[in-house]
Amino acid sequence: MAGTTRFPPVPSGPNDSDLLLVERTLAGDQRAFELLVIKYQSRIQRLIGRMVRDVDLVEDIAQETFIRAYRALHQFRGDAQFYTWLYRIAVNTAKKSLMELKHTPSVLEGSFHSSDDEDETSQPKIEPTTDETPESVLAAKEIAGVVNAAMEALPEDLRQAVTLREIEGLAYDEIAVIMNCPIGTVRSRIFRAREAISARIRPMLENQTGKRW
Amino acid sequence: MTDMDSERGELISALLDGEVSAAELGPAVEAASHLPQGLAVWHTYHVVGEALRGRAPLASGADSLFLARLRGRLTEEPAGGAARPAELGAALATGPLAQIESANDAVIRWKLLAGAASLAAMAVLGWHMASLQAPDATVAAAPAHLGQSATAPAAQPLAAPGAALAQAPQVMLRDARLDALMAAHKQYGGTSALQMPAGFLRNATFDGSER
Repeated sequence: MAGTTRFPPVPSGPNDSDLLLVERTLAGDQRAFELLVIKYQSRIQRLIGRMVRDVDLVEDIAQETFIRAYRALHQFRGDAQFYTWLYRIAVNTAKKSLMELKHTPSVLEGSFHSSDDEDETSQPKIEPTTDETPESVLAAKEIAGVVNAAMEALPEDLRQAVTLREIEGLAYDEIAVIMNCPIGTVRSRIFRAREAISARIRPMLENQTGKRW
Repeated sequence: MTDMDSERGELISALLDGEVSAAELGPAVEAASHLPQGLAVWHTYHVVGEALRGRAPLASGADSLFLARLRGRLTEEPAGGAARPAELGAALATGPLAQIESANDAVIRWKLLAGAASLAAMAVLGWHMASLQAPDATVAAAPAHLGQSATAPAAQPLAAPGAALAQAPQVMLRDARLDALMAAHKQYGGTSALQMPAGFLRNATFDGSER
């Protein structure tokens, strides 16, 4: 595959990693699509969870969303953000599933949410999703607490770099200007910050089931 | 973490931010997707980002099970999604892909429609502008019909007196048949003292002394 794989051009913006992964998937690398799944699974499930109460149904719809996205990937034109495109697929898939279920006599009334609020940007705070058990909600809050504590323990330059990237959403060249350092230094600092934080939460993530991938 | 792991970890971190060079692109995706620890590192970095942005990260156990289940379904799908771009035509003609509509297809159709409407509006506007300018050329090119009536108010039969009035309202054009009609029915209409047709007949009078 490596000898025949066509590599796409270099992305020009911070979010073009999605476009890169899309093109690599279209070139035949299915695991590039898995990277997209891992990246957006939680957000998609959170979105669907606001429309559907049934936990099992949320995951089924999320699975169906990614399958439909995979099938239609060649139709993604890149004129919008990948997540925007995926978001619409998720909403359409959820609505379709809800319509099909409404015609099923055995469907319980409590399986559905009102679909008035479909804008995920209206929920900045950490809050439980309907597809999580109380234990997983607690685990998520613990992880968030450890991440924040790890941030506080970081050296100032690493904390500033990862804050500007993850929270402010700035590109490496913008961070380099702010921090008055080369882009390579920015990249190194962000990686080191992520690695330091990851080292503290990795045991927590592995303890969830004992096996990750 | 070893030096090799650090190098790959930095590549994965940069890939997550979309900040990899052309030469690093392949190795970065390779590192994130093919190494035993690559997917775990990719996922953990995203968990860190979600937590920093205030979003509740899902447990790793749920993620791995979700992905394992999805992998099983993806193996039943054609490699590279439904089709590569070179095979898109054949795929659209047959198979289930012909019935699958992209999420942004409606947006694209509306954009095309808006573009076509804009072009049509421009064409209509251009035709209208051209038609407004055309009568000037017509008037200049036909002095035999209008030139004499513009200089002397002689009674000359004209083929289209109405049209001539519309183009040169300050010029009085006479029509013998119209004058006869006006004279015969002067109680309903009228002319000014200078025997010129009035713009509004109700304001004109055949008898100037009665004003």
